[in-house]
Amino acid sequence: MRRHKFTLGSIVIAAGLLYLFVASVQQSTATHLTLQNLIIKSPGDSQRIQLGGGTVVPGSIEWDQYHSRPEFTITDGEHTLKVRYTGNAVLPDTFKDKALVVLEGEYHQTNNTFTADVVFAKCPSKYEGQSYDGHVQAMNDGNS
Amino acid sequence: MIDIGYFALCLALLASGYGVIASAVGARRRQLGLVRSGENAVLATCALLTIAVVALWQALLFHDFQVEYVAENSNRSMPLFYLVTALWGGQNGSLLFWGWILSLYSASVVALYRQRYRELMPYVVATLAFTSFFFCIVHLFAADPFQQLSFTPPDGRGLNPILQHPVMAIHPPLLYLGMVGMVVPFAFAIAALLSGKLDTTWLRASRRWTLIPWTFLGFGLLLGGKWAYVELGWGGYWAWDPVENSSLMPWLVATAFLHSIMIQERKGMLKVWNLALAILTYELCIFGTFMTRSGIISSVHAFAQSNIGPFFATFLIFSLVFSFGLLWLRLPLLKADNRLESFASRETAFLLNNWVLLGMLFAVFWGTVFPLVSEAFTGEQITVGAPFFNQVNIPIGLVLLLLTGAGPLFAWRRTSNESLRKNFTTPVTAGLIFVGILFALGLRDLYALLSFGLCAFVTIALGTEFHHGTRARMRSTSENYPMALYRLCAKSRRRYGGYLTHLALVLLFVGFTGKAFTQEFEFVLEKGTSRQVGNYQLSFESLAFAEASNHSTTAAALGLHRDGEFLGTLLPERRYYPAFDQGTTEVSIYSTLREDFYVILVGSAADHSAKFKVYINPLINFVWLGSIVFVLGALWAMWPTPRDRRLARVDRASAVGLLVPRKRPHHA
Repeated sequence: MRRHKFTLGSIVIAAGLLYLFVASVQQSTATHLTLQNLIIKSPGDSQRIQLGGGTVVPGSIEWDQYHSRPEFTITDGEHTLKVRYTGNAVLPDTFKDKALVVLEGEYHQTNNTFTADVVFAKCPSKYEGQSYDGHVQAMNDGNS
Repeated sequence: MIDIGYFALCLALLASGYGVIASAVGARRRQLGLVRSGENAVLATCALLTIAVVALWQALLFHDFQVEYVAENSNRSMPLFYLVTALWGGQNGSLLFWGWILSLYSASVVALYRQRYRELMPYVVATLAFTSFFFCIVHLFAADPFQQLSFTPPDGRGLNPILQHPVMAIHPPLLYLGMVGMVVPFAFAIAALLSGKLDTTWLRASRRWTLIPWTFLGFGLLLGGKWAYVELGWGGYWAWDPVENSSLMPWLVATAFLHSIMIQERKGMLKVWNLALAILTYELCIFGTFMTRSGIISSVHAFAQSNIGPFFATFLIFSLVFSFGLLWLRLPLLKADNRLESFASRETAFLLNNWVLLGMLFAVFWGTVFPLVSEAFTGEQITVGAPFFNQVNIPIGLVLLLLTGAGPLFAWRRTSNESLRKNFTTPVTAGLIFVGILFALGLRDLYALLSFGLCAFVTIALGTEFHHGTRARMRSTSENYPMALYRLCAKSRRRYGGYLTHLALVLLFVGFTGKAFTQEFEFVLEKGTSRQVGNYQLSFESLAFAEASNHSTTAAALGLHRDGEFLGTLLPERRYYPAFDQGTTEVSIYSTLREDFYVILVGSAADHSAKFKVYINPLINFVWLGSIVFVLGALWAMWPTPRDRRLARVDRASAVGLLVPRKRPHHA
C-alpha cells in the first residue's frame, strides 16, 4: 500500500514537471535559421527567428550619435541582410566589424530587412577561429 | 624545451596505456606487483604531463612564437600574470591543462590510498589511467599544443582585452578543477561495479572526492557570474547560455549525489541510484566539454569549431555504454536493504531533494539540447530562450529552497506528529509573519513573496538547529555559548558545514529574487546637468578623453546623491584597444548591501552630451555573499575530522589479502 502511495506521488511530481516544461517551452521559442535558409523559407513577419551564421560586413555599422542602436549589414559570403537593432541592452563589446553574430527578432520579407532585439556577438579573434596567417595579414594591414 | 614537452606527452600516452593494462590484469590475477606497477604508471603520467605543462609555460614566458599556440594566445606586451594564465586561454592549452589536472587528481588518489580500499583501487587506477590515456590521444592527435609554425613571427596575437581580468584568469581553472575532479567518484563507482564490492566502501571513499570538485565547480560558476556582471555590461550575471548550462548540470547532479550518499550510508537504500548519479555527473562533465568545444550548439562562449568533437563524442558514447551496461549487469547485486518507512522522514526529504535536483537538471538539459532534438524531428532548430529556463526553474528552485530548511527538521525513519509540530511551528510562523510584513509594505509579486517567505523559514529552521544543538551541549558541558557552538560544529563538521551551505543557498535566493525588481533606465544627459534616477540624483560633471599605453578611453564623471547626501563619484568608461580593434565597456558601480547602482557610458556625442544606461539591482550583493558562505560551508564540511583519521587507520589495518604488501607498518 505504502509502495503505491510513493509511486503515485512520483507520478504526480513527474506530471507536474512535464506540464511546466510544455507550458514554458511554448512561450519562449525561436526558430533557428541560417541566413541562406531565411531567404529561402522567408517566414512571416510575426515569427520569431534566431538568425545565425552571419558576420558583420566591415564598415556597415551605423551607430546613432551616442553609439547605440546601430543599423548594420550581415553576410554569409553569399547573401546580405540589413539589420536594425531595437533592443534595450547595450550591445556586447564583441560586436564589431567581422564579428560572428547571432540575432533574435523578426524578418521582413517585403524590404528584406531584419529587426533584432537581441544580438549575441562572438569576436572571431577571441578563440581560435582564425588561422595564424590571417593574423599576420591583419597585422600587416594595420601597419601599412 | 618544446621537443621535450612533446616527447613527454608521447611517453605519458604510453605510461597511461600501460597503467590501464597493468592494473586491470593485476586485479584479475591478483598480482600485487602488477597492481603496484599500474599505480606507478599513474604517478609517472602525472610527472610527464607536468613536464609538458612546464614546457608550454616556458614557451609562453620566453615568447617562443614559433609555437603556434604561443603566437596565437600571447604577445610581448602582455604582463607576466596573463602570460601564465595564457596556458588555459586557448583551446589546445586548456585541454593540456585539463589533462594535467586529471593526472594530478589521479596521482593524489594513488598516493593517498596505497594502503586503503585495496579491493577497489586497481580498478580505480585502471579507470583513471584510461581517462588519461584518452586525453593524451587528444593532445597528440587532435589538439597538439606544441604545434610549430614554419616561421617565427616577430610577435604574437595576444589576449583579447575582454578576457584580461583577474577573475577571468581564475574562473576557468576553477571550473576545470570541478569538472575534472568528478572523474574520481566515477572511478570509484566503476571500481565498485567491476570488483563486485558494492557495499558503502566506494561511497565512503568518494564522498570527499565529490565534495572537493563540487566546491570548485560551484564557486567557479558564481565567479563566472561575477565576471559577467562587472565586465560585460549588461547588468546581469547569468544568461542560460549553453556553456553556462553545461557546467551547471554536473553541479546539480553532484549535489543530488552528495545528499543521497547519506541515505545509502544510513539505510542501505538507493544503491543503484547512487552509482547512476556518480556516473551521470562524470558523463555530464564530458558532455559539457564536448558541447563547448565541438560547435554543435551555437553559443557566445563556444570555442571555435574544431576536430576534437568526434574524439569526445566517441569517448562519451563508449563510457556511457560501458558504465551503464556494467550497472545493468550488476543490478541483481544491488537490492536495497530497507524500504522507506514513512512519508514524514528525513529519507523522504532527501529523496524529494534528489527528484527536484534531477528535475532541474532535466529542465536545463532539455532547454540546452532542444535545438538538436527539434532539428532531428522537424528539420528546424527551435531554440528556447532564457524565459523558458526561468519559468521552469523558479518554481522548482523554490521547492528546493523549502527542502533545504524542511529536510533537517525531519528525523530519520519517521517523525512523530508531535515533533513535527514542535519543529515546524516557529519557522513556519516566522515565514508567514515575514510574508505578511512584506505584503503590508506593498510587495505583490507572488514568486518574490514565496521566495522571501521561504528564505525566512529556512533561516529560522536552520538557526534553531544550531541553537538547540548549542543549548544541549551547554547543558552537558560547562562551555559558554560561542564555545559550545564552535565545538558543536567542529564535532559534526559534515552536518553543520552542510547547514552552512544551506544558509548560503538562502543568501543566493535572496539575491536571485532581487532580480525581479531590477530597474532599468536609459537617458541622455548634457554636461553640467543632473537628473533623477530611481531614488538617486545623478549629475553629469565632466567628460574626459585620455590615451593610455595600449588603449584610449572616454570617461564620464558622475556625481551620485540620494536625499541630498553625496554618495560618491562614478566613472564609467568606454575604452578602445587599437591592437585588437576592440572597444570595451567599463561599468561603474555604487554598491551597497541593499542594491547596486550600475552605470554604463553608452556613448558620447560631439557636443559632449552623453548617453547612459543605468541598472538598479536590488539585493544583488547577496549573491556574492552567498558564494563566500557556500565555500566556507563546503570547506567546513570536507575538513578531515579525528573520526576520519581513525577510520583510515582501521582501513589500513584491516586491508588484508593478496593485494596488500607483506611489509606494512602496524599502526593499529
